[in-house]
Amino acid sequence: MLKSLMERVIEPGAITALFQPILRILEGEAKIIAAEGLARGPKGSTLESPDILFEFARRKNEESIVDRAAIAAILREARKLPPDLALHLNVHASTLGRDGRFVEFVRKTSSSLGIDTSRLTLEIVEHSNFVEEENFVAALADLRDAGCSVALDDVGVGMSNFRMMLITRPTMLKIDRYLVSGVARDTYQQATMRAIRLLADQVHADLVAEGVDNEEDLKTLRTLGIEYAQGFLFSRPRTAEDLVASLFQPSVPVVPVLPIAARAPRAAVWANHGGLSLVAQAG
Amino acid sequence: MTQATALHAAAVLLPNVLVVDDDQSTRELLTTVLSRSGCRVTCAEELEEAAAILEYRDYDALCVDLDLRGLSGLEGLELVGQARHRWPSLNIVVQTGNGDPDVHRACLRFGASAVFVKGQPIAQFLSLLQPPVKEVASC
Repeated sequence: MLKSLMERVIEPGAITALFQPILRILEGEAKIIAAEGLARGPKGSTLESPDILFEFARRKNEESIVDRAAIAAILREARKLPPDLALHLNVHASTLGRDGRFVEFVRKTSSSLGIDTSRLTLEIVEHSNFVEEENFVAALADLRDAGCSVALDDVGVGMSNFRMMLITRPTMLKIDRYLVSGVARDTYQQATMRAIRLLADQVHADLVAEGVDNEEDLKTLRTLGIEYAQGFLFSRPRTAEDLVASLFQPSVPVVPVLPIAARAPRAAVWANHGGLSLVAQAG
Repeated sequence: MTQATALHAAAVLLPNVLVVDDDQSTRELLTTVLSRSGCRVTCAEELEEAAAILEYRDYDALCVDLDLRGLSGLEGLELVGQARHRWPSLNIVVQTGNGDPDVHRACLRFGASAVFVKGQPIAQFLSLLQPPVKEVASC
């Protein structure tokens, strides 16, 4: 019998994994301190685009099954990465709210692949006004009990709003590219970034700027005290093999560091070796 | 309009077309015909897939088969309605095997630009892939 599109999406091997480094940008040369796992749908299909893949999942009300397939694919590939590199995984808030066995799935999958859950940060994404708040909060507690950290993704746009922050209580805020891109030339964006910086300081959360694609913005982010960044300026999403290969190339500093008072890293999830030197360049 | 003229018109006016049909052979046929006319064609086999694609990509025309497997047709009309609401200038052509004028009127009410009754010449289908004009082919 002909398999449905969703059945084909979640078949083993249909979803592939790429990784984009997250770097510490405040002190010295930029250092890779984590990698975000990014899913791609079946090659050659419209769902190869992650935006369309997850929008499709949301419209089918199948976020959980696709989140699971994506995480399984990413964790399998992550075995090729350095064993102490922190890993970021995306999950819908609705998955945590509705899939009562999701945390157990994460724990078992990572265990079976030899990946310690203390390396994992779950980035919470949400596109709908989901209502399973009680289950969601309980699942977050279970994730933390399992040793995972929790980040709020896409901060500043969509459903990643103050309400979501109050519910999630993340130890990391990932600032959406909408606020980041062009920050060097926009005083409103800079003011928004300062407000987020103040907020993060109050709740002892780390800040990651997403979508950093030029040195001008990077310099501004440093002056604004943003500690971590990811984006095409450093590296496009790449396979685990490519990322590992780049780690063994000579290190290349990105931009001269500005005189900013160094902040002590707060999140416990960062790799304990102090980070890997940045070698990835845009392109 | 001759088929050659229709092909040329489609190529000039509608370079980017999203086809929604659950039948693989129909998708392949439409891809071949539209590609030959110069259009860029994307195919979706499910309504949710089409809706997800429309969320992130721009198209000049949307061709929706109303007779998708396991659906009543109302679901297809919902996609038409959502697409019309979100993209007022999108040319939406509904394909159906149903010749009932009431069905065709419902399609137009939901926001379809035109209705194509299956079995009509392909040139007629291509002629509908032009700027939105409320009409019902073969009615």
